[in-house]
Amino acid sequence: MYAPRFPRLRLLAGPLAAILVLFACGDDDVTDEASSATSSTESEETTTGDWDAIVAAAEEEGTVTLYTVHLEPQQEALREVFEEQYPNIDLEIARVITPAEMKSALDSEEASGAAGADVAIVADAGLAAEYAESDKLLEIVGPNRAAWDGLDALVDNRYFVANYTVNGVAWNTNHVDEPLSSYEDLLDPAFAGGKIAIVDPATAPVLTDYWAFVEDNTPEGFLEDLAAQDPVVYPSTAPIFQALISGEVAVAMYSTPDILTEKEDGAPVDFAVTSPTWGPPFMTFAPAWSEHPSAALVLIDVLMSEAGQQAIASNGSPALPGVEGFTTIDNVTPADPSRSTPEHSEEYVPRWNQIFGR
Amino acid sequence: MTHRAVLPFTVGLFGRTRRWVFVAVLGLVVLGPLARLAVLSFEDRGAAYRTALRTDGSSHVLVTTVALAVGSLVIAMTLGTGLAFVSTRLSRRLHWLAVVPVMPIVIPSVASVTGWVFLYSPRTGYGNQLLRALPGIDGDTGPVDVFSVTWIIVVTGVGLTSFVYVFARTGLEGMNHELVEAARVSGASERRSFFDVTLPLLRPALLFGGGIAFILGLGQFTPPLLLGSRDNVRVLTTEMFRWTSSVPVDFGVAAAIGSPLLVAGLLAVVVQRRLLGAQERYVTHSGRVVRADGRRSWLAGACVALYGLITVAMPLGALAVVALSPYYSGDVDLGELTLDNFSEVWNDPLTRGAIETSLRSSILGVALVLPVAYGVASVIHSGPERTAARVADFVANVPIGVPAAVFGAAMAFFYSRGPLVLYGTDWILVVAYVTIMLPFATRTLLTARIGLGDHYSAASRTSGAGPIRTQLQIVLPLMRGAISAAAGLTFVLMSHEFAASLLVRSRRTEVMGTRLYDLFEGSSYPEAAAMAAIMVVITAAGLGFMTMAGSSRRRVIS
Repeated sequence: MYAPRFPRLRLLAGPLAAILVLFACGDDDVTDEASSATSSTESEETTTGDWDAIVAAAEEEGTVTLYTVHLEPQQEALREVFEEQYPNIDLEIARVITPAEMKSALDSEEASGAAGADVAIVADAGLAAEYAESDKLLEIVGPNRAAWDGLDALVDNRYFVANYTVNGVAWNTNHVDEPLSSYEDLLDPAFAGGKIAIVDPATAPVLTDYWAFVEDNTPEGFLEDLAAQDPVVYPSTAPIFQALISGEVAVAMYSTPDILTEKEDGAPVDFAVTSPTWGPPFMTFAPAWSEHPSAALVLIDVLMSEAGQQAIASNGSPALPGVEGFTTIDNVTPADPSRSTPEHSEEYVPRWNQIFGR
Repeated sequence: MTHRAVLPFTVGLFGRTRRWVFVAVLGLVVLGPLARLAVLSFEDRGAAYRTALRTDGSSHVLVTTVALAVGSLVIAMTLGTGLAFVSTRLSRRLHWLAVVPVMPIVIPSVASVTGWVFLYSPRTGYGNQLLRALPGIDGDTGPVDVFSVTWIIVVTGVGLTSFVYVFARTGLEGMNHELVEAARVSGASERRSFFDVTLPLLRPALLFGGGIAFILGLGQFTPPLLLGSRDNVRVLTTEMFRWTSSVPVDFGVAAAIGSPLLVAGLLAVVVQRRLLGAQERYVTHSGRVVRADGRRSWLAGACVALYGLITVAMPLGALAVVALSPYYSGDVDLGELTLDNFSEVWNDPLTRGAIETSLRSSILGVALVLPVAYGVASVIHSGPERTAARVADFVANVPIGVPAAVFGAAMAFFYSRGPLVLYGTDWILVVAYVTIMLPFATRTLLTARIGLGDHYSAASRTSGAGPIRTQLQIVLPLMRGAISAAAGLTFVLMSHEFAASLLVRSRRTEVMGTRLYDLFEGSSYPEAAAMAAIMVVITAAGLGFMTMAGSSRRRVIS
């Protein structure tokens, strides 16, 4: 008769199984509806019946993951709108700041087949165009798309501008008495010696267009004069906001109206839109390898709706005409896609670094 | 003939074939990703190296990396040796202070560096404001600029001080102090006997500790990443990270940039093995040791306490203040303190997910690293002169020499492509953690195993027990304390691992360290501080477990 040689090993089986079960709880759900929903997007016109089927499949998928450059206030506003319309679908949002991070994450997910983004919003037109050219984006369908037909903001029914951010200057009211209104205001000698926060163009190609825009709209030699003020360079808006709120810097040359949320919470800050103002487009798309393609299409449809547009454009301009945001598209100079490329960045950043002594 | 020769420890656990199979699998897991990354860097006739060298500021990056390693080494050697010496002079009542210099190891580095930011931001840092209140320090900024190269070196050096301290203190405890006493009797002052006798006697321990600190300094990632972006301070590891997370993503260039670290790390392990020589050198306790009988001094306690205040208490205190503030303002208003940030962070699904992922991966990582480390320790102990033992020893020590950031890049590449795709799952974290913590677990278990000797297992075998039964009923229970300590140590280190986690993570597999980094870089400082505080609490819980394990160990040994 067989007798187990190592009866004590059985004692390990229980804890090991428990650990594996614990571990399995963290695995992402994989739905079988994905492929059918993807195929349903291939039709040119989507009927009400088709859309109902997509919504049903999306609810079956149960989850949609959004990677976005949007800050928390816009994220939460969007979540509220989405969950009100689709209470049976969980919206998971991760902030992915730079196009580089976005591409890295999306490419890794595509290569590995790992669960990840169902919808991406990124401040870089090049990335969306690159995926569209490689036929790696889901076709946009849904009832709210009709209002976008004929708009430049919708490209090939594959990706679209969700909104434009409005840009301006911000200041710490404990350190600055007079409101600012233009970039030239930053050349005040009172702001010399590490009191101005500026953004690093190396963070994202679109920021090289921002700096080119600044040069276009300021007197010649402005960058050199600004560099002489010894500004502090930050990679993005979030650390700039924190430095400004804390008083580590007195003014921020690169800011968005999101800083006003901090003002409402009592932080000593204020903001003014510069004129003209520069606005990067937030390009939106659903990668073809999305694990929840139906839910992705549903989320995109919400983003294209009037309510969705209002939710994400509280710090800028909606791309859909007639929708109210912080401002309207007429007041914004959209980022120039030709100057928002890695090639332009490769050329521009060394020159910028030289001016600012980095 | 020795007992070991008659009754090999590993008989039944590993026969010759199984021993080699085990070592081969171990080698594949630890070295496979590194080898793949190294091969990648040479593809296309070394195009990656050409790109890396052409990159703007590449030579400056190399110089900064070496400066960081050398500078932090000098700080770590000075402080670590000094603190070790001073700690031997602690009075019996203050003896507990001896643990203070080790604390920077167990406090999550990403949390601690965040604390340094709140203390020494040039204008608003709490520490700078205090310093500016001192007479003779003027201006509205500084005197410390935590974002400068100098202070990045200081922060790194403080982190590495703990390692040197551990080695130096162990050396001092094991040192025969008869020679020091002889020097004193011959009329040498305490200062002269320290420099002429104690330090030379400590040379092996300091060489070893210094070597480890230098290699760790070369591969430092967290301080330059969190502090360096403002002043464009770049080192090899942060450049590797940039190339794996920037457009275009290029693991080949990242591999080329990391190759000096890889080579230096592997060389360090080889040299370390040679220096260590026979494993008996790990046995530090000897009946012949004459204990130091230096004067107990309140000044010793004050020195250690001051060090703890500056490097542990103040960063943690700054974290706590910011975490409780509605926003980080550089001022402390006790009336406005709030728990809102904790509530915000705790209720955030991403943060909750990150905490769960950290705990899940760490628990499973501990469950896997212990048997693997036990196996490695068994192979080494069974016959250190054997080739398999030497190979296992080398492989298990590679993660000490090769920076975690390099392992992270290697694993992110290796496991996001076939045949084994782990990217996007918790498993890639687990594999990374097991690999990186293998040296710590192995060393703890091997030391205990050597200390245990072969007498108990020999008696068991003589009494008729089989080798497996001997392992399960004799050796394992006797090593219970060491196993618990290894479990506690690796759990703590895994739960706050940051460098490798940042490189292997996907957006669905965040851990506490990466979540803190995201909050720090992309959200608000108070929320980042709250996250850091949560990490510290979880680490403290792990430490509590470790302490209990230590007590248990002492009971078992007694």
